[in-house]
This record gives sequence, structure tokens and C-alpha cells, in this order.
Amino acid sequence: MLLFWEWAVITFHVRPFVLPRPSQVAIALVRDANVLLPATLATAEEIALGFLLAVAIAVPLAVALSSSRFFERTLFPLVVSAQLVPKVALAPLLTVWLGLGLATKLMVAFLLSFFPILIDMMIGLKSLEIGKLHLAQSMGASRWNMFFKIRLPSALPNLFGGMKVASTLAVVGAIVGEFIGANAGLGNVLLVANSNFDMVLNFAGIAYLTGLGMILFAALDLLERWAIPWHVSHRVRLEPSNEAKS
Amino acid sequence: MSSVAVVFDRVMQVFGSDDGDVVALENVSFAIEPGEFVSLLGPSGCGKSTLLLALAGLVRCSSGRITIGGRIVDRPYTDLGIVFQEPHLLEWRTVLRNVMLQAELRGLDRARAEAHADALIDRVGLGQFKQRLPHELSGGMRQRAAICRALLHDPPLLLMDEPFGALDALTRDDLNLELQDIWLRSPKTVLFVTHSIGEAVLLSDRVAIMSPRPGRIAEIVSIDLPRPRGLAMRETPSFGAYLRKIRETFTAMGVLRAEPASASS
Repeated sequence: MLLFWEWAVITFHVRPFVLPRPSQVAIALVRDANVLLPATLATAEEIALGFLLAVAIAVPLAVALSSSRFFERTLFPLVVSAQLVPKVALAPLLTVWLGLGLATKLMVAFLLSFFPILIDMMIGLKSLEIGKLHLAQSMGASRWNMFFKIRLPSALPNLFGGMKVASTLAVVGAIVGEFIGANAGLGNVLLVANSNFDMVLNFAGIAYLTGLGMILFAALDLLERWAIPWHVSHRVRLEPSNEAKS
Repeated sequence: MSSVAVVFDRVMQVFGSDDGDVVALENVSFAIEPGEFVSLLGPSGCGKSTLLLALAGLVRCSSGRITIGGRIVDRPYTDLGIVFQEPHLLEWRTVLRNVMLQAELRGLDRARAEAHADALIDRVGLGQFKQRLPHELSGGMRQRAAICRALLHDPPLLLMDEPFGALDALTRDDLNLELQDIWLRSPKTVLFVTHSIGEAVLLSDRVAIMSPRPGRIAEIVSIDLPRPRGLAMRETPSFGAYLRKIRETFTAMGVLRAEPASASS
């Protein structure tokens, strides 16, 4: 695909400010690392903090909403209505309130990644089969045990699903925040490159950003494999097992 | 080793629905003696599972009274072991840890419980699979683990809701014998829900036959066959007599249609 790209740009005499050659982008990845790396770290910080804040708030909230019908009926409609406000449209407002620094980007990343985590965690907690619930009651399980030994572990696969989706949204949130106004970060680099028609730097920035997203996703995936190795999604069956079942 | 008596006294269960009330159980009254193995036998939808859940206190009956060992059941009753059609093992725990869940939730002494768990798991033939996760086991193996879990704390009452219903017929036959073996060694009161006439006759002291909805106890048949009962006993005339008696009751209720004209009588 890269080769086709390279060939097409040369053959069709595409102007460099429209589409650069991948070879040029590759060079820029290294040559401009002194700009791109610090920018990546700045953006990474916004993403990570916004995402972690989303987890820290969404998970307990999901627990509260799933355990109490009262909470659910009062709080959940509020949360959903809040979700309907396009967060991206709030970004300029947040910049006015929180300034041009880390806080704004963190907030946008948080706002975008919050809802998927909340919803998926709630689904996980509510999807406990009634048979397991009955068994736990018959075994005299306390509410504490019921939650920590049964409900929570069974909700983890859903939580990780929500977190993976949320992580990609956190990246978007941070970048959007930076587009609105920033003096650091990859979004900032992209904006500057764009206004200078420096497409090579633009693409290099996008490459770094994609790499960042991939690292984030991979980190979550590793965490998931550690946390829920028993889940059906982690069972690799390449050949039929030799072990006898009866 | 102890067991308790169970009494159902005019138990009614009515469920409300959009199309009007559904009477699941109508005036169910009977008693189970301590140490007795009683089967609840009836077609799907007759309310037998509902009755079992009501006995366990997991469902509240609309009216009537259920007592276990003289104590009224009005909330989830915990001095029992229960096995459902689905094993409901926790996917993230090994077989041993799943069985031990019973001890953990009850705060039993860990060392003693683990020794007992080991013994039970060995006895049902899962000794080599103690550290396996449920997804590595077949359905029959999982159900055996669920039975061990239900017996870990040596309850005086064992409730089983079609425990072998999801398994193939051969495994089912085998596990029937396994259950009998376990019960003979450590007698307890058992209420066993099934829709298999053969299974009920093979395992039980008495078979309570339930009618289709609204569920009533149509008849209670005492099974006077010596124990231990083997699969070969199913081919004997006395076994066949019980099968016929119960089959005829179901035919009279309309659960089974009349025999084809060419069938020998």
C-alpha cells in the first residue's frame, strides 16, 4: 500500500502540499523527532489523565447505578442527557474556563471517554445470570461477597470492552482540545504543520498519533489478558486439544 | 449426617402478566420425610421448578406455607445445597475454587473444607481436573463439579432442578448412578425435579406427579424397589410396572396422547 502511494505521487506529479511521498514522511519521522516526541508525550499525558479520571468516576458510578433502583431512576436520565450534549462543541467553552493548558484537554478527553465505560460497566453488572444470583443467595452470600466475588469479576470483560472504546475516544478528545487552543502536543503540531502547508510534518504527526493510540490500546489489551485470562476471547484454539474429555 | 422434613401446605403461586394472572401452582400440599428422596415429575411448565424455587425461598409463594425442619421459609433458605440445570460455575475459578466457593461464602474452616472438597471431587471422578477452568470441562463434568459444590457443607437438604437435563442420555444415566451412590453414603432429604419418568423411578422413594398448569400434585407413587438400584433394574418387570403406572397417569391427564391402535397392551 505504501509502495502504491509512493508510486502514485511520483507518477501523477502530486504537489507536495497535497500529498507527500511516504519516503519523505518516513524521513521526517526521525528528523523531526525532536519536535514530535515531546509533543507526543504532552498529548499522551492529557489522554492518560483524562482516561484514568473517566475510569475512576465511571466505574463507581456504574456500581451505584446498578445496585440501587433509586439511584438509577434519578441519576441515569441526568447522565444520559448530559451525554447528548456534543462534547466537542464544549471544547471552546472549556478553554475559556480552564485555560490553554493540560486541564482543558484532560477534561475533553474525560468527557468523551466517560460514557462508554459507564454503560459497558453497567451492562456487565446487570448481566449476571439469575441462576448465579439464586445460587449465591442460597449459599448465604453477603452483599460484599456477592459483589467482589461474583458480580465484579463477571463484569470485567464488559469493562475492558468499554475501556478500549473509551481509549480511542480519549485520543480524539485530547486532539480536539489541542485544536481549539494549545501550545503543546501533537494536535498543536498538526495545526502548525497544516497552516504552513507542511504536509510531510502533518503526516508524520498523524503517524506518531496513530502510534500513540496503538500503544494505548495494546497496553489495555495486555492489562486485559492479565486481568481476565479466563475469558472466551483469550482462549486460543489453533488445533484440537489432545486432552480427553468425558 | 442429618436430614430434615419438608412440608408444603396449600402452596399457591400466581404470576401476574399482561394477559391476566397465570396460576403456576394450585394448592400444593405434601410432606417429605427426613432422608427421603422425592422426585417432582411433570411436563414442562407445570410449575415444578417454581415449587423448588419456592422451597428454597428464592421465590415467594402467593399463599400457603412451606416449612423446612419446622421453620417457615420466607426468604432465601441457606441450610441446603442446590443444583440447577445450568452448573453456573464461575468461569474465572478452577474446579477446586468453585467448589470451595461454598465454604468461602459461609465462612467455613478452610482446611477442613478443602480436604472435603478434595475428597468429593475425587469421588465424582474429577480428581485430575481440580485446577482446570470450567471452559476446559464438558457439560457433564461441570455439573459434577456443581454437585460437589452443593454437597461441600453437608447440608441436610438437597434440591436439584433437572440437574441432568442438559446432558446427553448416557452421561445422564451415569450421573444418576453417581447421585445414588453419593446419597446412599450420606443420606439427606432430596427434592429432585425431572421430566423423565425413568429417572424418577430409578432414583426416588416416592414420585410426586404434577399436572400441567395450573400445577397440582396429581398423585404420589411410592417406589418400592430395593437399593442400590442399577441401570439393569430398568429392564425388570417390577420397574416396568411403575413406569406403566406413571405413564397411565400422564395419559389420563392428557400429557401423553393415547397409544396408537396397533400397540400391544
